Amino acid sequence: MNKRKLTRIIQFTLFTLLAIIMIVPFLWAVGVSLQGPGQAYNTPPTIFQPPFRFENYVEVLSKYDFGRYFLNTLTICIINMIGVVLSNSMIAFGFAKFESKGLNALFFIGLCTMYVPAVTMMVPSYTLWNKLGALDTFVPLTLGSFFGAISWIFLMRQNFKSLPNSFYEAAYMDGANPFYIYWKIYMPLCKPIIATLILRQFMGDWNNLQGPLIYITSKEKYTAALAMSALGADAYGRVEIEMAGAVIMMIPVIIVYLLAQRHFIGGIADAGVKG
Amino acid sequence: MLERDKKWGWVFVAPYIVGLLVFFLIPVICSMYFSLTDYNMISAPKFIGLKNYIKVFTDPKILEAYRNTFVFLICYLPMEIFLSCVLAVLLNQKLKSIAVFRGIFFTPVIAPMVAVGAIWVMLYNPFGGIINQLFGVFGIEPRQFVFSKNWFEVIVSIAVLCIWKGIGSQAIYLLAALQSISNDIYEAALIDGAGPVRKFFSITIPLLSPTIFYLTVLGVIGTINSFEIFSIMTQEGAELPVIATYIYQNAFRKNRVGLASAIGWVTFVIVAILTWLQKVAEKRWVHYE
Repeated sequence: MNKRKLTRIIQFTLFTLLAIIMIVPFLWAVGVSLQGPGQAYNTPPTIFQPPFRFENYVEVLSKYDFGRYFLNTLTICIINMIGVVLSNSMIAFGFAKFESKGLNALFFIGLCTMYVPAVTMMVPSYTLWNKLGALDTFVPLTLGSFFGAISWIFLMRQNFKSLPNSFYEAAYMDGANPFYIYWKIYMPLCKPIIATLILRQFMGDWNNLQGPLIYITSKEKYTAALAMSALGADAYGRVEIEMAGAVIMMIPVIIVYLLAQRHFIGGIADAGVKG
Repeated sequence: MLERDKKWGWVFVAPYIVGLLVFFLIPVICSMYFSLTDYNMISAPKFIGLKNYIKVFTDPKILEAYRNTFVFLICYLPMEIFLSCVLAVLLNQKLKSIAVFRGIFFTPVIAPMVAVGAIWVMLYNPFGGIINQLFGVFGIEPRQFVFSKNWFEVIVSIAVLCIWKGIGSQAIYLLAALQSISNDIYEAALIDGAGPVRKFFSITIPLLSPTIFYLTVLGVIGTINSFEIFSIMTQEGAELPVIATYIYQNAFRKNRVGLASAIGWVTFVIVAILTWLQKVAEKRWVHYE
């Protein structure tokens, strides 16, 4: 019994220690973001000592225009959330419920494209958008989501496959249109995976730096991530402003995560199963 | 199944076919061609044969980018997967506050890399950054971390940051796998007198090996692709290039599209070989039940 108690204590201590390592950088950022100029590197540290300067946040939102960047990012997020749900579910439904040699071959080709790494696609994609004259717009960051992504198609296809075909057959006999069957009968049964998909897409778009960095050049079209990456230079030497930017940029993702933790982690664990 | 309305299947997947052609196939073919040309995106591409590819294997700056990428891969991935296994085992306990801990370990995963990068630049600051202050308490000489002139120190510093950020995500996959391991095996080991360390290496790791394999294959590809953290920490790769930032620099800052495409395709071949090698090695160490 005593030995067990000891393991418990060791475990808890280890956990707490690890948790501190995980969380302290964030707390530090919050602390510094509330300080005055030039206090970030005080030795010993003086964070979390009043007065707290909430003006730093106001400055980031107004002077450094983060309000606008948030709106830009949100626009991209919403367009993509709609895009990925419509496209991936529809395509996955096609692959799951209508089997033919041609469709299977197409699906296999799709899986093969996953082996082309993102670094290889970086330049080809850019030249495409360049030719289409879509640089410095949100188009390169959004249009693609309406044409499906194979990893999500794969997961949704599994999901549709696990639902019985008899629903389809019965409704089809009654003269229902396949699109009606897909949207009204099967989609409502896929709510959990759709929730995961929407969440992951939101997080991905909100955090995405690479895309905006490559495609967006005018300041008024910056996303929050892009503005954040430029903030170090824009507010040069003012670490507290940079930290205020980092903190407000993280607030939406953390709120969304806390509200929907179950779907988020569920989705990740499900994705692991295919290995 | 549902033979008679096969044509409907094609209607449903039509957007994918369009996407595959427009966003994948056409750019890929163009890029293969560009890699054989001298092209700056303004004037027409000029065919130069394999010159770009010869340059990829001989230019010291490009070789440096490859070296940095693979040193980073070695510093980062094995350590991260090992530590996530440990974390997953710790998380797989009936502790009351486990949900809180799980939430905490997952926070770095969901945080944007660009915010995390800025925070760690502050923590790593050579003059009064908290990590150097802590080092001071323990009597360790202050270090330069990501500001160092020593490339290896920079890479290790970035690897530490990435392990901190990614460990929670890997641990969740491993935890899902752990929860499917039956308790009988551990009880049998306990009767045989196995200690916790022995149990970890002789039972947990082999039983987790399919998941570890999956995470390794994805991890290798993901690490070679890593762009954002290096872009943030090394001024878009101007100071310490890795493959992704080097391609970015050449294509978008110096307009050397032909060369950048060639690096991209060489990287594709390297990734394919690494994936194939791992598939071969899989038979030797991965245990499927």
